[in-house]
Amino acid sequence: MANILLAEDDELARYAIAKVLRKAGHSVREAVNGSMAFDMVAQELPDLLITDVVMPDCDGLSLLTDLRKQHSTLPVLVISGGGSNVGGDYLFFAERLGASAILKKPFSNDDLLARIDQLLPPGTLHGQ
Amino acid sequence: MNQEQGFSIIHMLGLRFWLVMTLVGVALSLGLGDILIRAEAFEVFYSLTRQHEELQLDDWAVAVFASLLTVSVLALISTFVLGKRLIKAVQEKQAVEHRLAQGQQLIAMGTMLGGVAHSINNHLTPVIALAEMMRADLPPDSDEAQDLSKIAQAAFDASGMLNRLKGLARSDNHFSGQTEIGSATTNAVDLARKVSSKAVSFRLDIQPLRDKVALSAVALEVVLINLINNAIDAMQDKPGRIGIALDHSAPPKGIPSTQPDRRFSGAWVRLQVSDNGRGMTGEEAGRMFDPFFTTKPVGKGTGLGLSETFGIIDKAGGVFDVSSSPGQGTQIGIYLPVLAPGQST
Repeated sequence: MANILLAEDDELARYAIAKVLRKAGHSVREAVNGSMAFDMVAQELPDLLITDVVMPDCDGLSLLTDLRKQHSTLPVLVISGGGSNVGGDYLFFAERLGASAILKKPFSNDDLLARIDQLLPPGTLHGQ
Repeated sequence: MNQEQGFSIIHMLGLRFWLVMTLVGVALSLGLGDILIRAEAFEVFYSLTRQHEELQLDDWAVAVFASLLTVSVLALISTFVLGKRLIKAVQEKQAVEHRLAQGQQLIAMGTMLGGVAHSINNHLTPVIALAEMMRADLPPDSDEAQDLSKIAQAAFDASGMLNRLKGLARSDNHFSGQTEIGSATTNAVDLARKVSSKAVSFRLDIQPLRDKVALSAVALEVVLINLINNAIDAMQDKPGRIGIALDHSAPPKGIPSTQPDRRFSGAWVRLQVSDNGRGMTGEEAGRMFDPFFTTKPVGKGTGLGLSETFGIIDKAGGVFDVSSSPGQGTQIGIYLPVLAPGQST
């Protein structure tokens, strides 16, 4: 079981992803924006951060940039609907900014859990 | 009247401008001649010259008439030539603006589609997540499990359709295609210099490469205009220099390269734009391609130009290498893979 911090501003998406993670046996804390997620990381370092990109009050890319200054080894999975600008792909930016992995929405639960398994430190349990 | 208003008036007259001026000149000459004849001016002048022959007034008279005639002809020719040049300049400017406007409209359409797709993909996420989760709790062969599978599949299909729409928008926006990089770069630099907002000195070292790259001439124009305008803005009203170079160079090791792609031959070309502007900090350089990121004052930049540039180059399989320091200027290297012979985009 891993301690996962989920930063997602969309209520339904946050509810659904958190539910999938909890059903898989993980402990999940939820943040509604990047600023809140940054504070929650400072309170307690999670095993894994899952963050959306487009969020109010500090977007996911800014959150990633700020966190990398203090936590260079924190596993970060960036999820996004693919970018809202024809000139920029947010997930590609996320990789350049230090994301451990990226996942384009919408994704299957199997893909999400498999990606998490790859990012979690060895020995972290992951079960039904 | 400013330059734009003047150009507008000339444009309204169009090609008829020089013809109008020519006809006006001819009419004035004929009219003046008619007046002189009616006033018997030539007889009066002749008798006057006969009275003052010792003063060599004849020579002066001939000289004056010859000068007036020469000046008239020169004025006529100058009006003709100037008119034609002005018309050509206005037409070129109009063509450039039209082309840029076309590109901007297509970018806006692509941006809108991208925004819609992003939103809908977000909303499809909980649909798929919850449907799959519920399905996992049911016997796999049950009708309910199969219905939930269909819900998830329908959501994935919707996302796929959106992605195809985005792809269509990008292919219809004339940024796709291929172009011979040497000639396209030269033309694009010429265009970019014409529409640049400030006079700066350019140092060009563009090799006449005939390799083909996976982006259209229009796309290259947009890229260079964006980069040159950013370089000019970085000069902060000081005289500046912009260097533009094109040669065969592969990306430095460590630069993330594109995925292996059968379209490309393995060779690379490098387009480099450098300036002696204010330069960037490490953080600014890391975010320079982020959408809506800008170092310009509020109202002076949308932060979309470099993001747009990034997207164009990325789609062509290209990569960037940026070096910049505060006070030391900026150098942006764009590495584009060369298309293999016979390949299309």
